[in-house]
Amino acid sequence: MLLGDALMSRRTAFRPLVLLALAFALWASPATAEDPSVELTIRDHRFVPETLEVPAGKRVRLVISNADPTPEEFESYELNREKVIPGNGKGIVYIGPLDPGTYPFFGDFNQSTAKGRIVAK
Amino acid sequence: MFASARIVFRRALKAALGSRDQVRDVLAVGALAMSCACLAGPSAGAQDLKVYSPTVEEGEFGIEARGNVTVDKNRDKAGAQNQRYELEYTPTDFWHTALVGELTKAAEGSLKYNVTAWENIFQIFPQGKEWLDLGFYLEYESAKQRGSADALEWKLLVEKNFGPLTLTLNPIFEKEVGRNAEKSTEFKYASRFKLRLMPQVEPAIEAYGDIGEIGNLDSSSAQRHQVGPALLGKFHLGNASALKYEIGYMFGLTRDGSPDGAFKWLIEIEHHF
Repeated sequence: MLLGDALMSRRTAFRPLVLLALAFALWASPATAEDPSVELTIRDHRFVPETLEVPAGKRVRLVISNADPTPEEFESYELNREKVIPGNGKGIVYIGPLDPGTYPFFGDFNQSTAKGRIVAK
Repeated sequence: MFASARIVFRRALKAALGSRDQVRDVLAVGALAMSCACLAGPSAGAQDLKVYSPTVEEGEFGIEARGNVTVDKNRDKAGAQNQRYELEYTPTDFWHTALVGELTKAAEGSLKYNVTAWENIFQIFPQGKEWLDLGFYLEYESAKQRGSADALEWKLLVEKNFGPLTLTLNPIFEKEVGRNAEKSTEFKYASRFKLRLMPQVEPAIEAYGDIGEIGNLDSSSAQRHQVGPALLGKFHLGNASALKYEIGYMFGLTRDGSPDGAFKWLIEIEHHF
């Protein structure tokens, strides 16, 4: 008897869980091409660089490092993203695919200094 | 007439979202939400009314209080309450955990401490990496009332962004365990369509339902289905702290299983370390 059969016959409560796990495994298993990656640093409550260029029409992996000891929240309404980066920590945000244009972002905990923009070309 | 309404709906969506691909995505995820709802039992009293996002924030510590109270012309369905109080922490970028206390009140009863629960959310992908953002919610509920059973509740947390709109779906499965447990598994759902207008004010439409026991569904009029407007928002308090709120009013959609309405509220103070 397969593990899945055993689980389903004994515990109907876990049947949806098993089915979802199988569906998820099928969905997640194919290898995908690497998304282009860009890096952004938070230092002295500012984003460095303040302007990031990314390719339009592609999903982009944005790696945000926080060099400050305090947390910062990367936030952009235009990109529909918000992510808290712990102090001296790192976070990953996926954005796009974007139409060509400029997309502002800011640090929610230091809005007067932490500002930047992503330019999709 | 239905076809005309569908065309008008499609045009409105296209006007709001701007592209045919986004309209297609909204309709696809909407169809998923409807299929969840159509699986859907009777439910007495107030239920927990909260939609969970799959995205968690590492280092977040929070204290949350929420609840809802039913409104109805019939005294046996009016004034039922559900209140939950949570102490939350997110130790990693994929795991959020909380200790929960739940109080409930039947329409003509008194408020009683009902459940102590341990809640966990697991974010599966970094936000935006896949076509859908996915997470998984697992909660163990320890019953505090004599004759009640402990329960295991799990939810799939699904979220999709369409420009400024965010659709969140939570199919919910609940199974009683241990002493006094019934063998059946209950299916519920929670969903929200939110407009990211500004941090302080985000209007939304929410829907909740209790479809009853899987494999032994009740008549449609005895099922609980509620839908209504909500407002969400966040105010920064300085020093990486924020105050979050939610308010809403959910209209009952079924004659017997739903109250005429339910007023819901949430307030949370969070701090990031």
